[in-house]
Amino acid sequence: MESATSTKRTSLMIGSVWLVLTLVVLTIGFRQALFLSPTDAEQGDVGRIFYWHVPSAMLGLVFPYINFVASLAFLYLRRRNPLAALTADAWAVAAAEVSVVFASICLVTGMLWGRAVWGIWWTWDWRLTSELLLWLLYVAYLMTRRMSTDGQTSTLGAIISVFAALDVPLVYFSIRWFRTQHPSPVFGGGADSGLDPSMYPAFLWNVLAWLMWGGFILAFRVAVERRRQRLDQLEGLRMLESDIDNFKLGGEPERGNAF
Amino acid sequence: MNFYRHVMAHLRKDLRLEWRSRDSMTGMLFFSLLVVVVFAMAFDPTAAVSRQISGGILWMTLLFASTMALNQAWTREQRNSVLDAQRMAPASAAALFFGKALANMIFVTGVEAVLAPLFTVFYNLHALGQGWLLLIVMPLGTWALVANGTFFAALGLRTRNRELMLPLVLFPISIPALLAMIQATTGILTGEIEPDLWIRLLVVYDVVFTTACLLLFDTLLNAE
Amino acid sequence: MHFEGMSAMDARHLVLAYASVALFQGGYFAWVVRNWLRLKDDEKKAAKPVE
Repeated sequence: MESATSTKRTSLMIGSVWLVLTLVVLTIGFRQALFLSPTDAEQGDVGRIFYWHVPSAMLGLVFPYINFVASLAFLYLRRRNPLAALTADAWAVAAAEVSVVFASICLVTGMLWGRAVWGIWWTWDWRLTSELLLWLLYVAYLMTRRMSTDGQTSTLGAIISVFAALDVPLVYFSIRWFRTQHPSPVFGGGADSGLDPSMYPAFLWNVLAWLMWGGFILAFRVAVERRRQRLDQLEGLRMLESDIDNFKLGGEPERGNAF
Repeated sequence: MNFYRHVMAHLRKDLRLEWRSRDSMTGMLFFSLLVVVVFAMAFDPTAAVSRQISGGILWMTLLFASTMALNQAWTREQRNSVLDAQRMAPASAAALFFGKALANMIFVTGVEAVLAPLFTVFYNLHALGQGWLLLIVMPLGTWALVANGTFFAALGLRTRNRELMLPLVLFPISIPALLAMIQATTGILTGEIEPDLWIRLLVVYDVVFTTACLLLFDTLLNAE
Repeated sequence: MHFEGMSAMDARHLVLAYASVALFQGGYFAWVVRNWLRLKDDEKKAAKPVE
């Protein structure tokens, strides 16, 4: 009991320090992006959206891998080591939620940028479309988890995750072919002609900041999920132990899954 | 060989069940007919326009019709706890899945056989590309829809609102396949796009996802 | 950075983009914190022994 409390305290402390550091780096990144980096010659100030858009897009592609690996680990460990499998599942759900958050940011900031620079909110260009499909796949994953009955959530989620991971490369290629056959007029010159060295500090600070933030929120979400699992187990145990004749529920049985 | 015998047994059972009730076939057929009529009214297409859009309309019709039918596909097994019996049976779960998917494939192909002449009549179609390629595209596309659909319908059994669940998962996962079949069909009808690339993509999609379904079905069936 | 007034689409969209980033990340963070606090309550309830 003693050691459990102290571990809890240590992780709480590490978490707080990490959060403070992340906020500091985020502030630096913010200042770099808005005030120190030069204004883009072609796009003007709106080009600064780049510093949030691209790191979010990058991270939105990293977290699905964590989800996939955790889901595979879950499927492998499910029968062999149920406790470890639960941990893997916590990582999977946390990674999926964080992916959706980053992909949403990528989509929204991209649209805001597109409206100002291209004059349109959206185009069915292959990059936009694949990002949208990635978003859709992970929202479908979260919906499945939400709608599944208790006790099967993790397995069903892991299965969908494997299917989604198989789907992503196919989506990527098909959309690419699709769009090379119908070239869209919007893409001509643009932001892709390389990054000016004077923009590197702002860009790298923001990548670091969002990476730290992503790591923080992922770990936090995993911790919350672990707690929920432990509570679930505790309640299951109490159900088993309680005397059926004077059975009394201790508190509202508001299970269902809140996540 | 054992696997083959089990698949055949499941297939025979499903075909016999369908033959006796004819529910999903008639349902799908009438639904597709309605969709064809409604779309024709909505767009009022000329021959040139209909060549452009009818590939999309055909596959959307089949997608919606088969989603409806697939939702019912496993409900039959739930009556009298047949599904639980099958879980305890020594036959592999993959055989159960494969038999069911084949049966659904046959049903949807039947619907297509009726739908194809209807389309030709209502939309004044005749292919400008190589029409015989449709004989390859149709089965490949149908299998892509049906294999994943059967799998996710079984997944839907384990959720609270299964009617809703199937499209929510099936549509996003099927998007590359849908894109490929629509593009290939449109390419064949208009003769403007080479359908080879899309047919190849469909083959890859079918192989990858059929393998995944066969490997994961046991996990899905015993997901506790 | 030179905001020549919020009427320019440039400036408006930059601010909106930043606001949306803050909204999404902050909103998700708040949601996780809320779940965390709720679980704490539940754990306290669960810790009480059943008679």
